[in-house]
Amino acid sequence: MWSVILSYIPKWTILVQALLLVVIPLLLMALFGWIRKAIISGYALHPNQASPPIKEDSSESGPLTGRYDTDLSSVRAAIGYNADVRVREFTIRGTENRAAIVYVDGLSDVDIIDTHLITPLMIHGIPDTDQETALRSSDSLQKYIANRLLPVSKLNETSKLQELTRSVLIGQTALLVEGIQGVFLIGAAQGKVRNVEEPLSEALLRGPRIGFTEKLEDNMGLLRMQGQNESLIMSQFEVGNRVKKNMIVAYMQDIADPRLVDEVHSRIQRIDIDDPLESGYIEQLIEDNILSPFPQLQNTERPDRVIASLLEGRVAILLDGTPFALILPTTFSMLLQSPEDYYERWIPGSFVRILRFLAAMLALLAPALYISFISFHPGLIPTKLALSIIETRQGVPFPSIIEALIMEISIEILREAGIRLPKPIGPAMGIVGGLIIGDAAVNAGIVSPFLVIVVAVTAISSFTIPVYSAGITLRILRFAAMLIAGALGIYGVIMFFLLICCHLVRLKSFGVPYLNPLIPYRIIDWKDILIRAPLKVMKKRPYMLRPNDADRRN
Amino acid sequence: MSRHVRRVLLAAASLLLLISTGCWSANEIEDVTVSIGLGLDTAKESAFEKEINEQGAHYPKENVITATIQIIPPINAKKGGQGGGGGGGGGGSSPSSEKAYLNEQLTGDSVIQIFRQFSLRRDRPIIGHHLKVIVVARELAQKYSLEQIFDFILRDNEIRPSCLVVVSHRSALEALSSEEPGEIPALYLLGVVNNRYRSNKILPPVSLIKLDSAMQSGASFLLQNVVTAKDEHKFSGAAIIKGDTKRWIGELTQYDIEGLSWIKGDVVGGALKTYASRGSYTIAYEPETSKASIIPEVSGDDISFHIKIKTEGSLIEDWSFPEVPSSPQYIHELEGQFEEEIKKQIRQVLHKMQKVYHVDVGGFGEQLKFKYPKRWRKLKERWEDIFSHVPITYDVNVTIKDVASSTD
Repeated sequence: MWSVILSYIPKWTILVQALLLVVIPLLLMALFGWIRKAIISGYALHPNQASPPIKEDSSESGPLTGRYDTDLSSVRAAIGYNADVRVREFTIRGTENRAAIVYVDGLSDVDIIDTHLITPLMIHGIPDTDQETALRSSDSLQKYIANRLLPVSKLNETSKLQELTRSVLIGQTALLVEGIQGVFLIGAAQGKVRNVEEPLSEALLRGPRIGFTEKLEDNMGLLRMQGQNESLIMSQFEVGNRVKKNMIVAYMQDIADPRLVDEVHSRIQRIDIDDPLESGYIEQLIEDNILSPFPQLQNTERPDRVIASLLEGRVAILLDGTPFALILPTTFSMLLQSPEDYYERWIPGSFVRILRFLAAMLALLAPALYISFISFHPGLIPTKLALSIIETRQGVPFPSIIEALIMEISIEILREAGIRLPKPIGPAMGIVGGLIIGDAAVNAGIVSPFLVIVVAVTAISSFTIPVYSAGITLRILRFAAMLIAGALGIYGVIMFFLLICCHLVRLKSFGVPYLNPLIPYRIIDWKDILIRAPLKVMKKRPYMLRPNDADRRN
Repeated sequence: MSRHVRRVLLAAASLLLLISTGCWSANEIEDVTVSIGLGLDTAKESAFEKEINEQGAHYPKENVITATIQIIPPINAKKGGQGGGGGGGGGGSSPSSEKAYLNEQLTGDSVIQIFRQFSLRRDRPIIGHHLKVIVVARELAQKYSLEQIFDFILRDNEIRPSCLVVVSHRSALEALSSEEPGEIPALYLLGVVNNRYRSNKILPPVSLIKLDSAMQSGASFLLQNVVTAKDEHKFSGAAIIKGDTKRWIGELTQYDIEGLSWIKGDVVGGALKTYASRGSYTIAYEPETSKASIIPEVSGDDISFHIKIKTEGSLIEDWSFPEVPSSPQYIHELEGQFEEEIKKQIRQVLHKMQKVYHVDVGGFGEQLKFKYPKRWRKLKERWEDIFSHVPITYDVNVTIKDVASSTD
């Protein structure tokens, strides 16, 4: 009996293999965990902590004296050396009080200055009848000017030099008047901005043709314009240690999960950077897993997309100076959804969406499958196709992995070049690159015509993905898939696919599992993954975001 | 810092370990040869083999079997517009360069050894994934049991179980040869099997897996027979493989096959021709559906079978002149004629099965097994002897649904 049992105990080589199978993934996990931690802790170390951002010195941060000449000269000393800071001095009519306006050329609204500052002060001035009351004291003069002579909506007063200089530099106009303690700050920045245009990276056939611009106020307005709604909250934050930028966190007060909002707030407060140039900075600073190839926040230029996400209980982040808003938490299915799915009727919407899933699979795996079929599994190709492939591959000098790499890399180069090429010659170069190089490569016998089809289908497929950053992810992973296919064939491709699945299952975006609602399994939310159910069926907001108010009809 | 460097080096080294394994089992598709057909004959050395044997190129073997492997595309496949890849094909029997295939023959006493022996002759090794047709010569199947012949083929991992098996009346090499330019005989054989919807003279295709299960069950079975003449082929009749020896014992004609297809109730097309009773002119019936049930009856020790056959179709040809109008009586009369013809076919095939070859290839034993399993267990061992003496009755019901597009 013992000999029978013993015969079932595997040899030590098998045991070692089993051990390796257990240990290697754990080691890999530990390695990645270590790298991630090293990066994060390195970021938090904060070398500048000891000396907080250098502010204007106390000498300059003092209050204004109220004496016109000293104040004006200290303003000049603080910012007057800038080439774009202009100081215009004049006299207020009816009095002998001198006044000066300080503004930044190109940033302040010169029209407002001319018509609403200089005109009333210089031309109308203080009539004789009012002189008594106005000139009685510094306060009364200040009140008189504010109440009678400045027909503008945005009007602030300050008596601090630092605030004055800062406000002037972001586009406000400062008005100093002789005999007044404080300073008027008028208007807001009226820098040159782009008009509202159709979003370039997210074009739709059907749907609003409006995209965000670089101006935060306009973007907030665009969001508000999407619909009158009191529960839309936009709370403002300031990010950037050196260059300050406004940032808006938008959410629906009675829909979004308050814990999610809190988490967003706390992560934003931990942002430490001199200048977030674009919302991509924010994205990278608050995302969960910096080693993942998958985007964990979605960026979009479309206000309608943002509003739709907010109504699902998500949170949006808008940053001044960029047309790209961030939506979070992001789940995998969002990367393959387009607003158009919802604008069209549900049958075409579902069809297009299924098509997109298929295209995503193709974009990820088509060249890898080609390599494994050609190099490892000739038996898996239908006989007649196998024959024609053999015939066309006669004389191709490279193994399929090299062949596919050549083509894929050149098509990636073409695509990258296509972005940079000047518009007039872009299409021409595309034709030269795509058609001529492809055809010539086949004729020269470097690649087989079948591969050209595979590469073309792959390239086209990757353009069907509505979110550009998700497309990049698939393009990167495609190369990994190709290399593994070259080493292990279909077996490797399947292993690679499983590896990605493992990663996706573990990945979270702001506490929401990335593959939600596939995993954790929640069939009620499946109405909006592969198919887009009729709107009358989608009565409930996605449960995965734990909305306060689950019913969409409210 | 050096700790970091060491760690990076370690990671790089382990990555290298992964990469340097390379593509260890890769074999590019253009570096292999696809075998699409396999013919098995009794040993007959080709001229090529004789010549190389004279030069001492032989190894210890007995000459038992000659395997013909049909490979495509042949070496020097026509490329682009340039016609034919000059020179005689390496094979013993393909002088014409227009052919889309190449037959290679080797002789030996082990199928796997013969297969591997091809690697000495071809720069691109042969793969079996795309093997579509296996042709066994009648002579070989008579001499050796199919279990012996097919042992390697059934064990092999490369060859698919969906591969078609047929028997050739003459040599398998002939069945795998063709004079027509561009035609691949293996694919041709595969295509003909699909014509069952046009003719009930073709057996349902027997794939390797079906052959395996038939051999396991121990019952006798049929394999499609291919006759050849002047490198042209025709499916005709079937080879009978005896259940206990798994050897070829005889053939059914195509007329028998027709009768058998009525018994099995799997007629989906074809033409039934007979002569009208009035003026003995030709009439033909095209069946659309057919149904048959074999009903075993056991009373005491006596076993008998009754076959009920029902078929519907149309009157498709009528040589009456002057034309007889298709009145209900006339149609009814014709139905009787067709029933007679079907009965005649059944009578003949039953005679062959019971009296000539003593084999049950109509599925009678199976029905008995389903209905009377206990009885069957007792009879199983000597079923085919018993079957030879079992009375079988049958009734046939032909319904002519329509007269096709005839206007009268």
